[in-house]
Amino acid sequence: MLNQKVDQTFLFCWFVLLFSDSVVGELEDIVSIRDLSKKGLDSILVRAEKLEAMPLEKKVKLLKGKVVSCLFFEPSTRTRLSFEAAAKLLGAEVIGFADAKASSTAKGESLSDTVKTVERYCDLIVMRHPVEGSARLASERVKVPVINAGDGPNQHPTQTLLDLYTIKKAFGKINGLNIGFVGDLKYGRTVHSLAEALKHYKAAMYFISHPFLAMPKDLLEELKEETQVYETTKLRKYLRNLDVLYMTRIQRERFPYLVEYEKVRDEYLIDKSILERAKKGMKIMHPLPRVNEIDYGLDDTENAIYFEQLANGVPVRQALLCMLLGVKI
Amino acid sequence: MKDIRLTAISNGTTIDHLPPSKALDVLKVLNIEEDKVVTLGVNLKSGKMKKGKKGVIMIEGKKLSREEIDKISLIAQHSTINLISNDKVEKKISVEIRDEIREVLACSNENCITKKDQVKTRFKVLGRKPISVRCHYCEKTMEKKEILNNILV
Repeated sequence: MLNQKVDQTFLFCWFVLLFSDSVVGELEDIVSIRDLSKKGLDSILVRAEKLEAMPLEKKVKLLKGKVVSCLFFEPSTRTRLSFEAAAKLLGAEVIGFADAKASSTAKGESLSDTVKTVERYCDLIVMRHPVEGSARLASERVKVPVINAGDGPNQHPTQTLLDLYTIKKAFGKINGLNIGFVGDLKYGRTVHSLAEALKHYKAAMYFISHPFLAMPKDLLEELKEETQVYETTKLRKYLRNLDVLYMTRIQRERFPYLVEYEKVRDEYLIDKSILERAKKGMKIMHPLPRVNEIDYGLDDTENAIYFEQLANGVPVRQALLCMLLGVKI
Repeated sequence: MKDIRLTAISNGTTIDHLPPSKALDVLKVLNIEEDKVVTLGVNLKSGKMKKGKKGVIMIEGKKLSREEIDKISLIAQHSTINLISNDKVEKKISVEIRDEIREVLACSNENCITKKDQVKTRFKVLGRKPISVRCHYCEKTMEKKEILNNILV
């Protein structure tokens, strides 16, 4: 009986590996979370886990001799540094710029020409650009793989992947969890992308916001077809149900009047008192930077995992670099 | 009211079964050279159309391109295009919206890369009744009104 079980387990692992390798071959670029199936997402998360556990001396050989270009046409702290650290810790060389003024864009060069130039010097391009759809265009213009590190308010797929990885690490699973989103749900690209990814895992989603910043209706309808979705303006209404409270920053520039902004901003602040009414073990996440929505007093609690969340960006981005460059892990 | 009959064309294209209110919109988005003979009929009797009335456009000496047929599909899906050659219907096309619309629609998002770089536009059709499309590049969704306002002329 035991032998039979061992055989079945062996067969299952063999199938997973066989399948995972086929996913490695399929991934050419990471542009939008919409391009990834559940199997694709899982395959990335499994590799991130392996890379996180891998000894540094082994890891540093994986991308030896490879050159990664980090083209940041607009400012970024976390994403840029995380990508650079991820590549360097795998042994790759990193070239690029952190400001469009430092590139030929300042001389009027088109994005197409810039990426076609850069691909001559590298094996992979990581790109952040303020214009929506720029990463898709770049991926169509060059032969080397492109990773979208944010294209304006549109997509930021690696943020979504590290969010999923953080949830999986915290709970050992993603399937069937209850995830609450708070803050700017109308314009927040991290919320939209994560919600789109979570629908594959049948996670129940709770959208908590001021009506002015509610989730776009078309996206809500799309999500409702796949999973349970709840909307409310009351932060505490569903608190007892939530496994994850995903906070976001409410941006001043979204509001025509300062008074309206201040009223809404202070509606969704959390501090330690929230834990009294929350489910035991509820985790608090935030894509950062925060303004005042999470009190610093929460930082040292077991519930706060937003700094672990940003650290998880490194193994997740390493997994993507390896997969797109055809390195088996 | 006296029954009006249009004289058939010998060579060219007839666009039939247009909703009467859409006939002029269709005419506007077609690239018709100044010397072409065009006949436009609006509110003509129709047994096929729901309200019993239809619009018809007949263009002498013109064959429609793929892009032009796609434009018509966005304004008046289910209309009929007859390609006429030597007084005979050479081909009949039932106008349907394709799964992907290329190069006939501009994106309504001013921050889309298609507005900044030399890119041919592409849209995935999400729904047909009512129509909605998603930009291949910026992923913005457009619905009927925005689509009709952004057809390239």
